[in-house]
Amino acid sequence: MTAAVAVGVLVAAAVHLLLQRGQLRVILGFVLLGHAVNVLLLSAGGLDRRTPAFDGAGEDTADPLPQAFALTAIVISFGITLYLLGLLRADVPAGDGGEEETADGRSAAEGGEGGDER
Amino acid sequence: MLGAFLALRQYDLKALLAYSTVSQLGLIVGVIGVGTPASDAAAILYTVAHALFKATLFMLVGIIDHEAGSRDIRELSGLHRAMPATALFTALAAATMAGLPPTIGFVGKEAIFEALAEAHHLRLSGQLAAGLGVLAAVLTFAYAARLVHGVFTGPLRQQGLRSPRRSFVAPAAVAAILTTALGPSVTLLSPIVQRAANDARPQGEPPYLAFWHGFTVALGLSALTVLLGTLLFVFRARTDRLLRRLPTTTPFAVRFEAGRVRLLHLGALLARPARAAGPATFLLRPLLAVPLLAVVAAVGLGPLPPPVGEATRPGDAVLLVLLMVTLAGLVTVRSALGAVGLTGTVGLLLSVWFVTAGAPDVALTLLLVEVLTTIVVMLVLRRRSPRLPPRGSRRALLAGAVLAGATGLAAAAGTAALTGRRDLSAPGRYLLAEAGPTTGGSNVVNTILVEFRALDTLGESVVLAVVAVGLVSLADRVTRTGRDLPAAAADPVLVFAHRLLAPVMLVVSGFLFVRGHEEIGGGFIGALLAGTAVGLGHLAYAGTSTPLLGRLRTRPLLVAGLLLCVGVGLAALPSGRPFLTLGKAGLPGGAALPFSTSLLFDLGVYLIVLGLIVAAVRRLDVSTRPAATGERR
Repeated sequence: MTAAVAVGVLVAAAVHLLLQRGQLRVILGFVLLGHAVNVLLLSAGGLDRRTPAFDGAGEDTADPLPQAFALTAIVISFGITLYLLGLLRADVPAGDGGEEETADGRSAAEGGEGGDER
Repeated sequence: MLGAFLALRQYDLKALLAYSTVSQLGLIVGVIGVGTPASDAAAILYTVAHALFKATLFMLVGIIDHEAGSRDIRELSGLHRAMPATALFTALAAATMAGLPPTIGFVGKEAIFEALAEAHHLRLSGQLAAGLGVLAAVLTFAYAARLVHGVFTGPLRQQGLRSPRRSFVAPAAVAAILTTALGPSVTLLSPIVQRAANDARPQGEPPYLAFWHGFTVALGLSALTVLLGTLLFVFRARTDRLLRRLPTTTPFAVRFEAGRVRLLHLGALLARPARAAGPATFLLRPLLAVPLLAVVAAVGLGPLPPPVGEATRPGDAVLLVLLMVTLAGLVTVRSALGAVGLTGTVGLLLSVWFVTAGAPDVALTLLLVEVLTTIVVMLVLRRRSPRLPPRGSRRALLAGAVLAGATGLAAAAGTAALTGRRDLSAPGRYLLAEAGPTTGGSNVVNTILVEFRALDTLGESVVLAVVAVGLVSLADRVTRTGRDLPAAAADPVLVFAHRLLAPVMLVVSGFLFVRGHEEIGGGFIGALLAGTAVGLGHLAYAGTSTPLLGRLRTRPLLVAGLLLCVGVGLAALPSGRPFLTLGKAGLPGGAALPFSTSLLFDLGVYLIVLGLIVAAVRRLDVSTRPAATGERR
């Protein structure tokens, strides 16, 4: 039951964040969805066996295959999160920033454009 | 058929050829539609033939246009007197188009007739298809004759025409000679065509191509084609008059254009739900599908097997309570840093739980990923508003909460219904039994990553490398607009922490990496820890050159990692084993390497992950100037 409840609350929170305004909320919602999937993967392996899968497989040894999938999934979703953050960063003046930042950014942009002309 | 009719009434040579292409491609598609191995082979052979003769003809028409200054059949005549070589090659290519022996066009058209006659989908469909094919071929013969006759017969009216330079005609000459030569020697093409036909329809047996099949029905149809085509050509004045009476192109074009516009409107109408400005409107439909799917499954799914074993442990309840409190905070918090911190907390809670669930490798990976994610988010948020944007209206918020609740409920029900109802899976049992004896490693999860499913891991590493390259190019675009702000000064406390911790982290990272095969660790975990040291250094020195780790560069890391992974994988090939067969490898001298080659593969993964982290930390920091990143190379 643990896994089911955990997946449920993670997905609910993720969807709630995805549906709200703000790019950062969407990114964090995406991270939560990744967590939910990882819990689901481990649950698919069977949470009644919980001994780490090292040498000497016994009655209680966990299924190593979903763990390998989850490990891969964690690193892949890390990559996706980084890319989403890159998009967030590329989109600085789109209303997410505060007042003083817009003014500051504009003057910096003018200076940058002048110096960057090729 | 329409293309062939239209080609026959053109005066412009290029337009004639263009309409001819429409007709020929129609013929090829029609033959594919018969759907037999023979029809596939015929279509492929005719595609080759068409490519050869149509390219030749377009080149030659271009040469004629260039030399004589016109492409109009009515203006050109007697050109063979001025440019005999061009005339010869045009005649060869046109003969191929007309399907005259001994060209490849003849062989191709025979194959098409044969395949079309075999269409048995309906009564008389074979006869009908072959009849249409013959009709198209007759028209093709007629316009090929019209082309050659129009350009080359009659008196030479233009003065001062010279033969084009040899190098100008040479490419067309090669193709024209091939069209003729490949007819009798079509057996050379046969293996290629059969292989392509086999790829399209693996269960079929495509026929062997030959120049001469004996006196077959197809040969009779070819003869009929030549006869009817000649008649059309001989009575060309009457044919021309009849064709002129066909509706001119304008009403057709107008109707076609109107139809196209209507089609575009339809497309816009269908795509309207997908064109949303915000993610919320866009995600509404796919998200609604989740609870809907759950309802369908609840109704349609039969009785489930009973749960196996006790999947819940006493400590789990603590985790669930903490998780729910954290998530409740996360969905209501207004501070950006608070939201990031709470998301990190969710990750930490889960990694603790993964330890209790018997997945220490997963737990350690998640822990390190959470730390790194938090570092990178901090870098991105540095100059941003500390508050999240205000939430929408109360109604939108309520609707979102309802949808979130329904989706979460569906996900929970799905997890409860579809997991924990069977014993250890067969692959899991196999891996637990075989990992030790096969690979010599005792960490089964790691052996899966670097040996059993190494191709998966390679693919994943490529994805990570692509993300790193994407980050670099995204950041380059932003820095070019000059939006970046001057760097902050180095933080003495963090500098001290970095001096103390970074060497330790690197040593532990190397230790975790090396022992990955036997104990908790491996390439991913080791690289994530080293990446944490990189992130700490970046924070401490505020983007100015960090000692030691500041020298790491994204591109060399990625290139070295990918080359290592692929190289280790390829090293298995000479000894006849499949790509990415890893394990204890023997050296050419007969000695054995002291370690498994999977360690080298894992090192490649390590380098790629580290490259990604270096790219993320340096490129996502809003406060670094392009000069400070020093990654212009």
